[in-house]
Amino acid sequence: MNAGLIAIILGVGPAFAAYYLTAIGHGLFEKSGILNLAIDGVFTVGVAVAYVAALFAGTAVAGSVAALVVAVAFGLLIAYLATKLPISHGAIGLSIMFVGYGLAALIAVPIRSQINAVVSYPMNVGVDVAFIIFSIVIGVLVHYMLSRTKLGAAIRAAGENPHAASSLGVNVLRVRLIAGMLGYALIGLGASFYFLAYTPAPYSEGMGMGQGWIAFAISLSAGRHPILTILSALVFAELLYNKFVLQGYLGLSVHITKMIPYLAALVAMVIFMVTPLKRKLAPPRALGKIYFKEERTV
Amino acid sequence: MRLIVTKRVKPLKFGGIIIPFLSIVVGIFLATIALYGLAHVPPLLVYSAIGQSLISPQMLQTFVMLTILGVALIIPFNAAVWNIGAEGQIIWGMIMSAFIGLTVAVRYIIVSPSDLPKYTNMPGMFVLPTPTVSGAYAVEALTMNPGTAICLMLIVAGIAGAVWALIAGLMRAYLDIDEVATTLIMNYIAYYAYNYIVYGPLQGITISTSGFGLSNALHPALRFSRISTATTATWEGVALMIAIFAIAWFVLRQTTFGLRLRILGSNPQVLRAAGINVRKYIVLALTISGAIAGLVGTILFAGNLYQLIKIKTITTPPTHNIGYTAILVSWLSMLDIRGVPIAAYIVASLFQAGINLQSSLGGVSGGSAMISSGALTYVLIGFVLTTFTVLRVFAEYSIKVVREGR
Repeated sequence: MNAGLIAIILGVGPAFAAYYLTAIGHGLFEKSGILNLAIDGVFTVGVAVAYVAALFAGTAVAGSVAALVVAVAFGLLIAYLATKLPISHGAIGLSIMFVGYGLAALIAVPIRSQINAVVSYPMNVGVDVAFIIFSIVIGVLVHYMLSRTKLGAAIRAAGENPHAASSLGVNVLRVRLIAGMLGYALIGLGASFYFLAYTPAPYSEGMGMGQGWIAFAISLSAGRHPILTILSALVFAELLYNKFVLQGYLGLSVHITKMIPYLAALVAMVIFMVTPLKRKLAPPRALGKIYFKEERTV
Repeated sequence: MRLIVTKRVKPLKFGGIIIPFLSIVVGIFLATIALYGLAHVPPLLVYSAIGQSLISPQMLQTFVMLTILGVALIIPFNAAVWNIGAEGQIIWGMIMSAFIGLTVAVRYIIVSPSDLPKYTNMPGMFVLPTPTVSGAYAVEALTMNPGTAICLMLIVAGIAGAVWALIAGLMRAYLDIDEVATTLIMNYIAYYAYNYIVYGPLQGITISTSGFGLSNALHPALRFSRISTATTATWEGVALMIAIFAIAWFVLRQTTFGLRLRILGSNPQVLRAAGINVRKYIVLALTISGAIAGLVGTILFAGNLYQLIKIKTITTPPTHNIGYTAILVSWLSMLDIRGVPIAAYIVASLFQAGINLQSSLGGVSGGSAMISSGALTYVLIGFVLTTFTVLRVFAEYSIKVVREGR
C-alpha cells in the first residue's frame, strides 16, 4: 500500500472522531431516559463557539474546551428541566434546538465578518491517527462506565424505570444531570472536532446544521451501544469524507452526494428497526416519558 | 427550599390565553438579552422591529401561510404525531407547482430577436427577459386555461407533499421509527433534491438562469393576484386559508375521524381496545398534514416567488424556514384549532420582526449586520418556544415553593 492510499484511509480520522463522539454522547444521554432532540441545535452552537474561542485563544484546544463547556451548560439545562418538571421532552428539545440555531449565528457571524482567519488542528496523518485513537478510547471508557460501574447502572436504571430506580435509592435528578453533563461534553467535543479538524473553513452561518441529526441517526442505528457505534460512525464518516470520490467515480451530482448521508441515515434507521438488532438493543423503556409522581416533592 | 409539583384538579382558568401571552413577553425579553449580549443589538431596535411588524401589511402573506401550516401541523399534533417535516413538504409542493407551471401549462416558442416585437404585445404570451444561450428569445405560451393550470398546480403540489409525509408516516406506523427524526432528516433530503432540480430538470433556458440555479419565471397569467400593492398576500392564498381552516375545523371538531385523531393523541389504548386500526390514523394524520403543507408550496411559488431559486446555504431555503416556524404556531394555539389564527398573527409578526430587524442592523457596530433574518427569527422564536414549553406546565400543574423546616 502506498502512502497516498494510507492517507486517504486515515484521513477520515477527524470526521470519524466528530461523528463518533457526538453519537456516543447522544447515546449516553438518552440511556438516562431523556429524549434528546436538542442535539442539532447544540451541535451548531458548539461549532460556532469552537470557531470563536479557537480564534481568540489562538489554539484549537481552547476551541474544543469552550465548545465542551457551552454544550455541558445546555445538557444540564435540558436534563434539569426534563426531569424536574412534567414537561414534554420533545417540545423542550426542539425549542432548545431553535435557540441553538439562533445563538450560533449571534456568536459567530459578527466575529466572522470582522476577522478573516481560522485556527484549526494541524492536518497530517499523525493527527488523523490520534483522533481515531482518542475517540475510540473515549468510546471504550463510556462503554465500561455504562456496563460495569455503579454510575452506569444508575444511568441505565433511570432510563429503564426511573420510579423503580428512585425507590431503590437512585437520585434520578442527579444521575440524569451527570448523564447530561457527560453526554453533552462529548457532543460539544464532537462539534468542535467537526469544525476545527474536519472542515476548518471560514465560518459561514449555519455551519454544522444538520450534522447533529446525522450523529443522531448514527447513534440510533447502532442501538446507542458505544462499541457498535464505532462501526456505524465509520460508515457515515467514510461516506461524508469521500463524497468527492463518489462524485468523481460515480459521476453523481454534487447535490446528490450531499443528500446521500441523510438517505443513509434513514436507511440505517430502517435496517435497525427491521432486523433482530431492534430487540437486542432496545431503546430505554422510559425514553421520552415524563417522570412525574403525583403529589411529589422534587 | 423545595418545589412541590401538583397536578391541578381543573386546568388553570384562562390558562390557554394567559400562558401563551406571558411566554411571548418573557421569551422576547430573553431573546433581547441574548441579542444584546452576544451581538450588541440594542433592545430598542428589537422592540421597534416587533412593534412595526405587528401592524405591517407585509406580514399578511406570512400570516396566511402560517395559518395554513398551523392547521396542517395541528392535525397530526392532536394525534401526538409530530410532523417536523413541513419544510420538506413545502419544498416538494414548490417543485411540483413549478413542474406544472413551467413545463406542463406552458410551451416555449423560440424566436429570433428580430421577430421578438411581434410577440411582446401578443395576448397570452410572456417573453422571458434575457435571451437563451443561442441568442434567441424564449416566449412562454399557455397550453391550457390558466384556471385549470392553477388547480392542477395545487392538486399536484398537495399530492407531492402528501407522498413525502406518507413515507415518514409509514415508517412510524409500521416500523415504529420516530417521526420527529425522519421528518427532519427528510427536510434536508428535500433541500438537496430541490437544488438538484433547479440545476437540472427545471433549470431555466435563458443565459441568466441556465446553470445558475434558477428556473424560468412563471407565466403572469398563472401567478396569484395580489390583494394590494402594499402586501404580497394574494386572494387565492386567503381563499385557500379560509377553506382549509373551515374544513379542518369541521373535520377535527365535528366528525368521528377528528375525535379518533384526538383520542389517538391522548389515549391510544382506548382506540386499540375499540378495535380501531391505529396505524391507519397515524399514516392519515401525517399524509393530510403533508398535503396541506404541499399547498403552501404552491402559494409560495405562484403567489410570491414565481421562480425556483437555488438554496445557497442550508439556513436560507426559499421557505425562510416557515415550516419550522409553524411548529410554534400550533404549539402556541395549545393544539386548539380556534387558536391557530391568533397564534399565526403573533408568530407572523415575530417572523416579520426578524426581517425588519435584519434590515435595521446596518448601524450596529461589530459586524452584527451580517446576521441573517433567518437567524434572528430563530432567536426570537426559539426563546418564545422554550419559555412556552416551560410555562405550559402551569396550565395543568401547580408548583409551590416550600421553605425548608415546615
